[in-house]
Amino acid sequence: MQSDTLAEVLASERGRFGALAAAWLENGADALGLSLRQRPGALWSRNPQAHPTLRVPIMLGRDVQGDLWIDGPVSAGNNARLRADAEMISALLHREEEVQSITSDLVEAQDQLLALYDLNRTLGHHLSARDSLADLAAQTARMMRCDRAFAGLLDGDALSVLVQHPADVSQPEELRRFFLRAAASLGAVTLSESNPEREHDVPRHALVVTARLRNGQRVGMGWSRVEDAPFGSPDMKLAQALVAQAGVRVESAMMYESSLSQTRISTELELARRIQQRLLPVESPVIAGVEIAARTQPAYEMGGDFYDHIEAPNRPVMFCLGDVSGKGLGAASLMSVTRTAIRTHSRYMSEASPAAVLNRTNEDLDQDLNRAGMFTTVFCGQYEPTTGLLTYSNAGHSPVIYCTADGACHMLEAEQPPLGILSELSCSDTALTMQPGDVLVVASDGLPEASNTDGEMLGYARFMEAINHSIGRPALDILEHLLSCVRDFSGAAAQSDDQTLIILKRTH
Amino acid sequence: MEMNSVQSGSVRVLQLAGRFDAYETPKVTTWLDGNLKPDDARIVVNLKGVNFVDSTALSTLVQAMKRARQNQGDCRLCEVQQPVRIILELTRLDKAFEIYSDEAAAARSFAD
Repeated sequence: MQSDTLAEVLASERGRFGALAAAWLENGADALGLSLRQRPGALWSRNPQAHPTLRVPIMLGRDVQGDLWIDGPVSAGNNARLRADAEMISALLHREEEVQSITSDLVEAQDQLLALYDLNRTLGHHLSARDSLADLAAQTARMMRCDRAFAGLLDGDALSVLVQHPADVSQPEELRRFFLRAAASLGAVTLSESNPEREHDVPRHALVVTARLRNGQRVGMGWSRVEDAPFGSPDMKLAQALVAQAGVRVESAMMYESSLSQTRISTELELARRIQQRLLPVESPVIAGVEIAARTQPAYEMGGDFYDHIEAPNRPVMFCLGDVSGKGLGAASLMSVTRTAIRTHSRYMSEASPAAVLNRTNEDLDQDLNRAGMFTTVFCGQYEPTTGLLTYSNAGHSPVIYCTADGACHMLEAEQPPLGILSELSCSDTALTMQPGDVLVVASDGLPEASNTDGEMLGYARFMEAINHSIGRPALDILEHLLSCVRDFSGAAAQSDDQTLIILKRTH
Repeated sequence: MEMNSVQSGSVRVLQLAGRFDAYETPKVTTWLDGNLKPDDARIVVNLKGVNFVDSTALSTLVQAMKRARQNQGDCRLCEVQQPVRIILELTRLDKAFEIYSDEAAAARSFAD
């Protein structure tokens, strides 16, 4: 490339050239002239009509930048001196050009540092993977001295994300092929001759680099520019560093998105758990002559067990315990539906006996339970304080244990299968008169089926034994005793099923 | 728990032996998924060797029965031993399942 360094040096160092001319004029020359190639040079002369008698070219490499000449005596001495002066000026031009080149490199390096600073400044921003790549493409184009940049995520052979800067200048399919070629060539490829895109006969060069992410996907970035020189090794190193940076940012964005979604799910679960907890009665009903204690301990955030008591004017309090088959959210949502149906029927049916409520609830839920492939066991009971009469009905629920004050315990079998098995249930009410000291224990199967770390189950026999040991205590103490027996037996083993318990004890 | 799959006439039979509990149900569910077909959902589960079932196992059998009946088939039980029979009676699931004394009788019942 032709440069005009001599003219620049002449402009900046005119004083030194003047001193050189003065020395020549002192030593008998009439004039010293400096001719430039395409513009006026300089002349130091006492004779306006001066013309060159000796002339020497001033070189910069192979490029003739101009001539140094004198109007004066032609002698071997003057010739040698003029040549030495011209070589000195040439050396000056070389230094000047080096300084210019170093300055330009420094400016470029500073620009790249600024771009890198911008890049790092946005690293902490919580962008999505796509936004991170778009940000990187825009910011790295300047660092790579390119007018175009593109970035993408490769999932196998497919591009799941593609961004371009400026937008949509290239065909996505073409860029996908570039990424695949780079992935197949140790992660990087330069393209120029094979690129059909040409502008003013100057080839467009592209540099494409990919890097593997921990999840097996690949992140890719590419830059292209129109220039004579192809990309060199420093470009490649910078590109690889930038793609490594892109990988870190994309992975961080993916982790952020995933943790955000997990947080959202756990927040929703927590909300659902609180709603479910609030559906359960806070206090046991006050019924003359009996104590009632109840509690539920879900195995997961949401449980499929429920207990409830429903008060309605002019009828005994209805209490119930249910267990939806399965665990977790699915069971919990069916539990809410079942609980609501039982509440509604207990309150508003004209003859709301336990059996009538269960038969009606089964009618309501049979189709839903069938569709979900689930069923629900429910025990419902009513206690009449004036007579001590306990009326109950049991749809498939176990264990229900009745103990008399003297410690004799027996299981109350279900009359009908659980809700959701038969389209019509024919539950009937069973009545028994509770004597003072008698206890009814309604538990969910998560209690007798609690396992210890050896995989051994508590079992019905040990559960009944625990009831038997605490039969003389108040209802709440019996409940605490049973739960602590189950806890002690399970030890460090995780609770695998919901555990729910109602204790009803006649006191007088 | 041991599992054995046999054919009795045109009915597929799953013979089980041992403890049938939450740890074993995934294997049984897999077998049921492969054998309960929309066009032929007739199966028998032989519980001759089963001395214990927990609520998860019962739930698996009930789901199989419901799925089979939705496809005009059934999941019938046979050779139910005393400990398991007690559980079925406690929960009145003995009223929900058709229960037979042996495999041949259970298989024959589909022809009736």
